[in-house]
Amino acid sequence: MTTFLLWLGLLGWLASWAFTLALSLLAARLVQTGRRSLDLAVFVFLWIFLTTLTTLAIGLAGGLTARVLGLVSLAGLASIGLPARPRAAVLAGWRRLASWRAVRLWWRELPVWLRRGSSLFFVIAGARAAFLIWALPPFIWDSLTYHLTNVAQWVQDGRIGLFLTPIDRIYTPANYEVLASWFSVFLHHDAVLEAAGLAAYLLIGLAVYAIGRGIGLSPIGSWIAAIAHLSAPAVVYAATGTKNDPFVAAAYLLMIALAIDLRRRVEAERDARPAGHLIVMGLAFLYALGTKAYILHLAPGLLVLAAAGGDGLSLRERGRRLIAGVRADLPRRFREHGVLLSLLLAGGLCLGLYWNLRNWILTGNPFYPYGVTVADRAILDTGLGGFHFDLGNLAANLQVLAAKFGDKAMRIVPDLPGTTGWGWVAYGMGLPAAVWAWIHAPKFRSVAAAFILSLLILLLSSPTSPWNMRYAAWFPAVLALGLAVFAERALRVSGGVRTAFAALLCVNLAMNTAMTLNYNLIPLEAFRNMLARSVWDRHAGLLHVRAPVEYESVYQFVPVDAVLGYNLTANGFVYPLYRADFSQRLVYVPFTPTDSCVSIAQAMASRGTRYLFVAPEHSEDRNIARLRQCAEDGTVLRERAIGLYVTR
Amino acid sequence: MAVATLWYAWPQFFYSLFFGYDLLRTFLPEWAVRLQPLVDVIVR
Repeated sequence: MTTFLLWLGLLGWLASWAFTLALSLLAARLVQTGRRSLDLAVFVFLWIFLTTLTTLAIGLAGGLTARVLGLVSLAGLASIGLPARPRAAVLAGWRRLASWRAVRLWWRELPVWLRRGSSLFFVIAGARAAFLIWALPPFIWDSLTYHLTNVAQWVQDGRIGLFLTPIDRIYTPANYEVLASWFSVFLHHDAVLEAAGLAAYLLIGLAVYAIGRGIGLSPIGSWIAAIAHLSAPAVVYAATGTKNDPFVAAAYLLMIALAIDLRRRVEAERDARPAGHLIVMGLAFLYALGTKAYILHLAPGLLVLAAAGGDGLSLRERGRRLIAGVRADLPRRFREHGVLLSLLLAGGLCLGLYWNLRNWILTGNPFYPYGVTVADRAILDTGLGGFHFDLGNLAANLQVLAAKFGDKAMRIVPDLPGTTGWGWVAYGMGLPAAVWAWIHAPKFRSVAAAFILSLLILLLSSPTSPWNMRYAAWFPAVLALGLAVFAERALRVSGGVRTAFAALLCVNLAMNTAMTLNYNLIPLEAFRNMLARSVWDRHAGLLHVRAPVEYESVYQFVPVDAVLGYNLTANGFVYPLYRADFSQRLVYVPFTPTDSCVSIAQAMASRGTRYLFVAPEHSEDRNIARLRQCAEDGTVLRERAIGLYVTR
Repeated sequence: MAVATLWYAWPQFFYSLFFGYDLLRTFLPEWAVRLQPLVDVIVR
């Protein structure tokens, strides 16, 4: 990449940051909750939402380039910044959210040990995230298979769309991939792509804090809950692990925080102005739906919060107040900001339904490539597995969860095979504290019941697999909240108890942090290999944690301007073949083991390539064996390097 | 909570910090690294 293009990309990205932040401040004013911690969480969510939405709209129109995004951002900034009214609204929104005086007062309220401990935690967590993002290319299995394959192809094409590949899962809802594209398109490189997940990590922390405040915890308790959850290895790994699960977890936790605050307002005030809460809850649900469908399984947990007993009001009375509040509040909001609210809601429908509608139109199945089975009856059958709603599935998943409980089976690594990944704080302190809080704190009980119901419905329908606990990265939040309820009591008693509690929390936080420094997986030698290269040359296929050595052949022997053919299975790694700067053009070359060598060579030629890549575990063994035979035969194909075949 | 932490520490401490962890293992003395198969057996 030339220095000029790099600077141009950085300038475009800066403009886009400014535009999306200004847009989010503008939107946040329409849906204020009146509670600062919740408003901050809503603002971060709106940034994720609006950045994804604008990138999707521009990408679908074929403008997914640094130049177009930069120019659109500049035009957007001008339209917000030049007229007096929107400019004043943005500045007022900024002043309301970023009150340094309030932050200072809040910080001083925390005890000294917590201030020191949390400062150290965030400095180490920030340094860890920055180093891993900079030093390592993406390496998580699903990302190399389909999440980032979408990103690379879209950025290369400058357009969001479908393309020919054996990887059926490129069809799945892809809001995360759109946001990851925004993190890649300006540099036309994956150097900071992993940073996309940090937005979800931040939102998760703010949402847990807001839940704590919502159930009546002090800032100290809520802060402990947020840090405890943010230290869980499953959450830490996922944040920089190029997975979409943190975004679903963040949306779910935000919906819980909003639901709790809404219930409190409806119970406390006759004019609760509930429309803002409900609009953001709807947008968060739709965003998560367009990210991964299992938000459908989590959402019923919210009903527990609605149904749980409040401060003396019957469920019917609360329902009546809510409906009356919406009837009064919604028209009022639309009278004041009708156009902007309509755009926001239309954007939510677009992000929530676009992917499934597209799949429905193209394949007849909104959940393609997955099927849906209810009580052993296939409602949608694709032959590729999918969601199973039956008690047998729940029993099997509970058995798997029991085996994973306590993380006894193996060390915790990013894909969470055989473990829950909840970590030291959740098990060592959160679990006993949550049991205590269940008995002693009624307000905690309804939140815990909501989490448990969501988990049970998830286990009722999730495919039974060693890796399925990544769908439950939000669950340790309830253990963290239980810990916070206990902490409020423990920190009020004698100095000895207080010291012991603080010491144990710091030890457990340190243990959680220590195991995540290298994802508990990456050998020192791999770091050395990566750091020996320029950041621009750290291709995903060079990190042999998941990708086999065959991928190195591509970088060594295939010219960047050539088209590279590949023959991989539906679970193979396509992403590393694009290179870190998405410069390699790819084409899928299908063939069968019974094809003649000549017809394989013709299949390559007809797709405009001389090169064909295969790799063990990622290609059919019989196809690899066929290519080896052809290379030994030597008439039309030869083996250029391990895994790489070239026509003569 | 201390009991729960100790319960969780077995075997996660070994997995996380001592033997299953290449980054720290690099800094361990040779005799400690040689104990890894023994710890694997105990843990399993």
